[in-house]
Amino acid sequence: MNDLSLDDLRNCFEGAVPAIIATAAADGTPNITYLSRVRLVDPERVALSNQFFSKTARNLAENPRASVLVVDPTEYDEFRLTLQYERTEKRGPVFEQLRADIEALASLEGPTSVFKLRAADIYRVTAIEQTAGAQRRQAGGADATGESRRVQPSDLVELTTSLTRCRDLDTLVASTVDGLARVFGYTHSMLMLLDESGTRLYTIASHGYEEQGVGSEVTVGEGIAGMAASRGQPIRIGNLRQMTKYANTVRAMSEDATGEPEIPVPVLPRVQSRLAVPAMAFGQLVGVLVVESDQTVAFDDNDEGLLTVVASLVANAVEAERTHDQTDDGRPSTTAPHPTASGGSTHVRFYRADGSTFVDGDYLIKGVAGRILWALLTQHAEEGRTEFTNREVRLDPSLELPEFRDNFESRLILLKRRLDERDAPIRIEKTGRGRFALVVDSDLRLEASG
Amino acid sequence: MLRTSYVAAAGPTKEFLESGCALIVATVADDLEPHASRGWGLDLVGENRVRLLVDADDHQLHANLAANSSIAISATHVPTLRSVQLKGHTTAFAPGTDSDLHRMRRYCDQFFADIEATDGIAPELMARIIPARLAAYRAEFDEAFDQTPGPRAGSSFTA
Repeated sequence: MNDLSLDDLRNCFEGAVPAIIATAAADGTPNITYLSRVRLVDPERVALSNQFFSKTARNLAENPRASVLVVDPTEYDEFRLTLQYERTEKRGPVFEQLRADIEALASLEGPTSVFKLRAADIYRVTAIEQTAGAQRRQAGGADATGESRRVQPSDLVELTTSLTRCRDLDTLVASTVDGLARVFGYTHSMLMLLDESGTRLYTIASHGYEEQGVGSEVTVGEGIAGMAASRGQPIRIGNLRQMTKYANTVRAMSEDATGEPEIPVPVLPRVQSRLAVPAMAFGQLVGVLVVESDQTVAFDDNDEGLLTVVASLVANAVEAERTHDQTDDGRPSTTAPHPTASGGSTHVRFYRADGSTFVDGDYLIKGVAGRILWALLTQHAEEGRTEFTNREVRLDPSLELPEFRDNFESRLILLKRRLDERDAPIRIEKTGRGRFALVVDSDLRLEASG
Repeated sequence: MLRTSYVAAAGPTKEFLESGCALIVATVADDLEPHASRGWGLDLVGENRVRLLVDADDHQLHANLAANSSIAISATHVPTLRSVQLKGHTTAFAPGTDSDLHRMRRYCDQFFADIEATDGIAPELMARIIPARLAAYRAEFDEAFDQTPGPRAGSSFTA
């Protein structure tokens, strides 16, 4: 190899610009195609995803050599790697890493994806050569490098201090996404929590988006955030637009809309990079922290490490808050009851089947949060109550809460934030630990179906 | 004997091949070492015959073609990823001309505009991989394959 090392080409392996692979059959016929992903294995080796490029696979079986072009997406320098096949792996860390890459691509294509990693082929790199652009840059051309985020320990202290001062879950989730923007410059982020069934993630807070998307859901295992949750590992994509285009081309049929009301997950317009990090506490998944950027390959290993630390802090804080909430004695509030003001009439329609709740015809929320709201509004209508404790409400069997890890507090916060986001004439206000008030600024007309 | 049907019928059209498609090129040394390169503009100059612009300083490419003339060219329409691969042999070499430089600029304008529109990459950045000098090859093709991602990838237009 010459003076260039694979480590110098680290950005090339982020998958932002499709790699190109040339092979040759035993009869000397060359073949050229694109590769889904090239991964750095060690200082002398790379791994190529073995999916469905069959002619390439046949050529490599006959003649185990390849020439690969990779591009640094930040500077657009191009390099040619000369490769010698060494081995194929169908398990282990390299295979898992490549499989995560392919599954991320598959998650964009949809549940009927044809993407499936068959194996990770490991190659020794015998030569690295710069092509025209890189040589010109060395000769004095201008650099167009992106700037890696530099984190000072004091920044982490600042965010940690801010989070440890939070006295309730509502403040905690807001401080997390606000702190990521203020302290570290992650201008677009969202915090998602795992639901009671362990099968879905719901957005409890976001920052920087036109619509907050509080209450939006994704299925665990689907999409970038869902994959980070199912694998318990960070998932990082630096070329979403290119990947989405590829997935759309492969997809044979368009997805059918379900017609069900739902809250869209917040998405940055023209998003290029997304990093989703699982938030774990005591070995259990609590949620997923997601950051986005419209820049190509905006996030790197440093971001992954930093956000893993932050996600862990948040997960442990959420778990601590849940423990406090469930052991709280729930004594009645000492605050004065909230008067009910009348500001017109509001129609609330509730569907028992799935907890879907509509306010004046507009979809508000569904599931546990919808059932909580309905339980509160019913008691408000029948008994005139405005003050509640978490303990008494969570015992209501109509909520269908699980006995263990019922997520009541986070569902209540989700409901509170969703009501605030929609500027509804119904609000939830915390009045103390384990206590809250229902504030209604309108005459309510309640209607339940199903 | 070259087949004559694929260019005009089910396969790649003149308009497609001469557009701003991403052009990638494979050659091979006599010891079967493959070599990946880029193309910088392609014109259909006859039935199954093309003229391809390449980097004049890509010495291995020129050595390979001088030795055995085997070449594969893949053309991919950036917005749709519709792709075709042509396989055959080069028949003539020529140093690049001013006219070739103009042809490359026209090619790059369309290629880079498509990349910018679909992938969001600035043309100024992509311009960093443009070669400083050009060379041209004429090539004849006897095989053409559909290389569009998906289940039909690899099927022959010439079969």
